This record gives sequence, structure tokens and C-alpha cells, in this order.
Amino acid sequence: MLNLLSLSFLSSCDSPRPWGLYFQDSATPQMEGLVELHDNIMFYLVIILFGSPISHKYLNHALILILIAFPSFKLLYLMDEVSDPAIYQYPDFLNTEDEFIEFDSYLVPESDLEEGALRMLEVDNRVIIPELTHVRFIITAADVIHSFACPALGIKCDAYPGRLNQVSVLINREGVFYGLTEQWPKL
Amino acid sequence: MPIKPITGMLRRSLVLDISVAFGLGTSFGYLFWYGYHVPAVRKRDLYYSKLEDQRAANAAA
Repeated sequence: MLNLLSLSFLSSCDSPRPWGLYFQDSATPQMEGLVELHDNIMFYLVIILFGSPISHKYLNHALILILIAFPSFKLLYLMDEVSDPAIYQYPDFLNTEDEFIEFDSYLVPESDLEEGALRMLEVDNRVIIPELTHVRFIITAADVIHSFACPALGIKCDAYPGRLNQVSVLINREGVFYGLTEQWPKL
Repeated sequence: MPIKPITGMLRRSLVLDISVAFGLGTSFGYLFWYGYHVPAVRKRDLYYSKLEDQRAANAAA
């Protein structure tokens, strides 16, 4: 059990891990803000958890909800700000044959996974973006509603056909960050 | 046999309940905060300060 805990709960990671609790390591200011908010809320929740069996007779928990709501709104609006991205766009870059960089990226099927690769997360072409640079993702879908999410970057954005959504990130450090749709289409 | 006086029972139970609830809750809340959150933030800040030093060293080289 201790081994499990030390491997999953306490270890640092940029991807989901077996028996994982808590968050992946943050790589953007947004995610740091989200973790901070979570811990702030947890502080109040722990007070409720241990105090409520007795104090529920007297206290109105709306007070606690208000305490939680204000930092939550603040973070929500801060995260909604889209900073001016760097002047380049992905298609501005050329490959060695002077062609625009444009590619498809698909999940690696389970049968093709290499040793140590992550199931349902590994892709055949990784998107490479610079660190310490404002990056904006413009997200849409071709068929049904999907979503683009990367927990370590603290982003999750729905992808709708016929509509463009945007999220911006500033990545603080190097890493390989995994994510996937969190809007599973109904089959 | 004399019976216990009933005056002040409500106030006593109110004070006891609320102080025990807040005492327990706040203690465990601070245990979480200083036992988990603050060390995690410290570890993260240490990582970023090391990274910053490394970047400065790379830029100087």
C-alpha cells in the first residue's frame, strides 16, 4: 500500500497514473491557480467535514458557499482572458521541404503501443509548442461535439462543429503533457 | 435527591457545540493546509527557482 501511495499519490507526473489522486503537476499559471483554489476550498470543506456533525444545527452553510464563490469567480474570469499570442501561427513554420506544417494526430491503437507508452493517450504526431510564450489554441470539431483538454496545462475547452473556441496558455516548463477529449460523443 | 439546575443549559450546549465544531474543523483544516498545501507549494517554487537558475546559467554560457 505504501508503495502504491509513493508511486501514485506522492509522485510527480504530467500524465494520469494508476491509482492516482489529486492533480497532475501544473505547468501553467492557470493550473497553479486551479490547484490553489482547490486547496482553499478543501480547507473550508475540511472544516465542514469535521465541524458539521455538530455545528449544522446552528450554521447556515451558504456562508461557506459565498467564501468559496468569490475566489472561484475571480479565477474563472482570469482564465477567460485570452492574452495576445506570439505573432507566429503554426502554419507560419515550414518544414525542411519548405511546406507548411500541417498534420493529423491520432491516438496510437492499443495493439501498436510500445513498452511504457500510455494507453488511450499516446498519439502518432505530438503538437510541439514553445515554453514561456503565450500560445492560443483555436478549437473546433468536424463532426460532433468533442473537447480539447490537457490537465497539466489546466485547459478544457469544448469543440463544436461550426464554431471556434479559444484558450490560451503560457507553459512554464518543458514536458510532455497528455490530454484527451472529455466530451465523449454518444454512440 | 437534588436535581441538576436547568438554567443556562441552552447557552452551555451552544457554546460547547460551536467551539468543539470550530475547534475540530479549524485544527484539521490547518493540518491539511500546513501539512500538505504549504509543503507542496514550497516544493513547486523550489523546482521553478532551480529551473530559473538553470535557464540563467544556460543563457550566460
